[in-house]
Amino acid sequence: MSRPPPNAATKRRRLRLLLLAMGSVLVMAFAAVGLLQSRQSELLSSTKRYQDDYLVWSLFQFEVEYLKLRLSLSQALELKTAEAAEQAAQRYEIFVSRLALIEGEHAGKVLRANPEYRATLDHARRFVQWVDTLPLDAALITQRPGEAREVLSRMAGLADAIRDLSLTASHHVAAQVSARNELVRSQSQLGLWLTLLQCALTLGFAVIVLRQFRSLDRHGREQEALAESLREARQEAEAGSRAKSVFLANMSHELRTPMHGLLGMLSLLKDTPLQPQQQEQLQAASDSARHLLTILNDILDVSKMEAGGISIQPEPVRLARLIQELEELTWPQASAKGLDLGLRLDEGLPGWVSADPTRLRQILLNLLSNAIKFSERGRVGLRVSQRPQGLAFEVSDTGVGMDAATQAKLFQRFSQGDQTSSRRFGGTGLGLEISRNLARAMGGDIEVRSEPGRGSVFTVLLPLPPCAAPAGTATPAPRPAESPVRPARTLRILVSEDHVTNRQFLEAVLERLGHSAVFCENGFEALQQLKAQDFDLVLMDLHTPMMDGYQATRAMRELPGAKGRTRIVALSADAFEESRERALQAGMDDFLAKPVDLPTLAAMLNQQARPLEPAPAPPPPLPASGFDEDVLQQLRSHLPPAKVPPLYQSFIRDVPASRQRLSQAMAVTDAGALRAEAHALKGASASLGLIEVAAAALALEQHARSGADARTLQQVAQDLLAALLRSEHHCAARGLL
Amino acid sequence: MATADHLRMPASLSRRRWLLSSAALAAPAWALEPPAETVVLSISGKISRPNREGRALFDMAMLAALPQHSITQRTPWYPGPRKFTGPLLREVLAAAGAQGQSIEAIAINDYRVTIPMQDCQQHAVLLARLMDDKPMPLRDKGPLFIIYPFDDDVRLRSSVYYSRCAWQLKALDIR
Repeated sequence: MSRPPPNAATKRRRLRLLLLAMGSVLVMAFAAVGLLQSRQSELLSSTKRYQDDYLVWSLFQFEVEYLKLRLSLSQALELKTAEAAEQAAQRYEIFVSRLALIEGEHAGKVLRANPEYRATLDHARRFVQWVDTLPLDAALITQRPGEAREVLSRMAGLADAIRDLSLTASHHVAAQVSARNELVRSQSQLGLWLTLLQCALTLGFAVIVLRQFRSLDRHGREQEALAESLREARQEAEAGSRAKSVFLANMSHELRTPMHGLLGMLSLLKDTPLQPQQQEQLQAASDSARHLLTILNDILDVSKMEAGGISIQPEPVRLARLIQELEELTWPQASAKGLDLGLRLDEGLPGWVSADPTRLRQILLNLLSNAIKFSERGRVGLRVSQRPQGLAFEVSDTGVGMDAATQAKLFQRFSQGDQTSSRRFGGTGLGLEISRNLARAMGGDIEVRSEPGRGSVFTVLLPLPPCAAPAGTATPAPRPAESPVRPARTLRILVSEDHVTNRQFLEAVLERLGHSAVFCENGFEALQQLKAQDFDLVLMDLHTPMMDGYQATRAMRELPGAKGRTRIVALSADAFEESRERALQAGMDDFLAKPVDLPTLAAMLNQQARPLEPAPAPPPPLPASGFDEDVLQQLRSHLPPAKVPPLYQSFIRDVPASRQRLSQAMAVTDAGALRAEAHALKGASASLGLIEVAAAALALEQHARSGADARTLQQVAQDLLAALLRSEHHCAARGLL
Repeated sequence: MATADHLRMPASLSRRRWLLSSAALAAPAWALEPPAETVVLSISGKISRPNREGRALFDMAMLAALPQHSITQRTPWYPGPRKFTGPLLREVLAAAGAQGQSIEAIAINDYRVTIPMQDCQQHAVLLARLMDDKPMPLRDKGPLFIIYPFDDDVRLRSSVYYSRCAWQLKALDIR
């Protein structure tokens, strides 16, 4: 609507009333026209008009006949022949017949108002009565001419009256005709007006219809524009929300990286000779760091869910194996608190089901961890059974339990049993929300049954269809039950890592874990190595020169026999889902975000008694003032003292080459090359505590990735060059070179 | 409305009637029997069966000998419905062997009107000689009256057809 209507409903009602009124008027106009036309047709209908016209004609004929009779009678009296007498007598009869015609009912009506008519008629009638008494026939005329003459003389008295009557009737009918004409004319005029009215109304209807069409059209366009702007708004909102979530995910990732470094260093520190007090402090620091990492992982999960939903990727999962894994992962916690741990599968369950193993493990691990966390004594159990709705995973504990109110808000964000429990037990409160979201994403749900003081039962109900075992896994080699902490056996590990510092770091860690490792600098070399000898596991950096991790993996998967099935684990500083998916698509078995902390890596390697898993990369921290002394301290305490300076020496040895590559890339403003170099420098320098280099490298990597202009890139790259120069000074100052 | 109404007929007429019908069916060479009484109708012009001086003359008995029909209807000339009886005009014309496009009807009062021949073929036009079963005197539009069957076809109720209803009829001229 161009002008703001008082109210759309009122307007519609008005329009309806208007249409109704116009329609009624139109119907009335049609009715009036119909009536008018029937009137006119009636007016023209023959009988009345004929009778009017005929009356005039009859009166005129009456006069003519009167004259003819007089003439014929006087001729007969003169000629005195029988024939003339016969003629005269016939004339008289005709005269009488004419009299009957003007006496009719109609004539009486027409001439009622005229007194002369009646007088003349009476006069004529009396005359005929008298003549009939004679009677006037041929015989009378020939034999009694006297009486015939008497007839003639009496007739003469009638002449004027008959003449007047004829004229009167003629005038009267003329007046009637003109009145009728007048009526016809006025009716025609009325008809004309009515027709005009009909035209106007029809035009009015047309205008209204046109306006309605336009209005509809405009409405449609407005609707479309509105939909479009809503779409845009939604896209903007979604983009904003995504951006925020991506930011959060990135931040979590960035936070996680130093956390892993911290954890790695702490676990290395644990094995050094320490005083009991230091041991305790170390344990406390370790616990805090682990808790912090859990929180970060939860936040990362939630932000990923919000950024793009949860992608559930079902694949065949062996239930027995899953239970075994869970037992291995939770047993240390349970045994530390002296709890019984009982995980069992009901009889008759399918061996393999279709499920997302990572997500299913995550849910069950979360529930089991909670159960252990909230139980001081007794037993924690997991029972898997078949129900009509699907598989039920019941996690029960003998812990503190919950009342109904607590259960009601249990799955809400940031809620825990109560304020005190959050202080007592730690946790983000995101775990159950994540678990329930995951369960729902898989088409199931989580329910809880609990009473305060009598433990809780969490039931995960998931519609997991049974499926066939995947090809090549027919023999699921029963795992030897063993301590999850001790290495199962020495694994032969091939590491593809282009940065020398990362290589050295991994070497140190893998050596400590009791595995033998072979290092190479890129995917191509790794491929050659794998062809030359057998390995239990390949740790593959995704971004290496010559041949990257994806290409190398594809090539390895095409190798014949067991070599083609060697377990390959991706190593990448990118924690994005796309990188992980790309890696898995390329044929890799797992994906580890760099760097990995020592216990996680150790646990994973231990679980892979058959094929094994990855090794960690260096942890880069980012505090102030150019050089992070803590990192150096950690390295010194975790690694054999003789091994630390070579790390720095190799980094500094590589600096001129890095500077040259950076300069070359700057000269041609090759953003890709700048980014690659910055990425490599970032990881290595952070591992060594060269935080100024790490910060400058990070800045350059981000600018190069976000497509900053050449001038900015130059500037940031210059910063990095300067930081590299100063790094030598930092190292020299600490006697590391 | 026109109903065949065979009136009582003198026995002496039956032979003549037979002859008439035969003549109507056969070639026009047969002459019409001359009238025995006062002539009431004279047909002249294009006729093939004259009975005197090139004319076909009829007395009332000859007309009464033809098949009779009756119509009861309202007319402009009388206040209420009236019954008219007489032969069909086309049968009278057939008896005279009339072969023309139009008929000029002439009345005793010197009235004249032209009637198209199709009228007689399309409509049961009556040559009425009785009104309400009584002979019509000259002073009451007699002795013969051409009557159209107005109730058969509403289109007949117009001035044109009213004017073709000639009364005091004395002659027909076939053209």
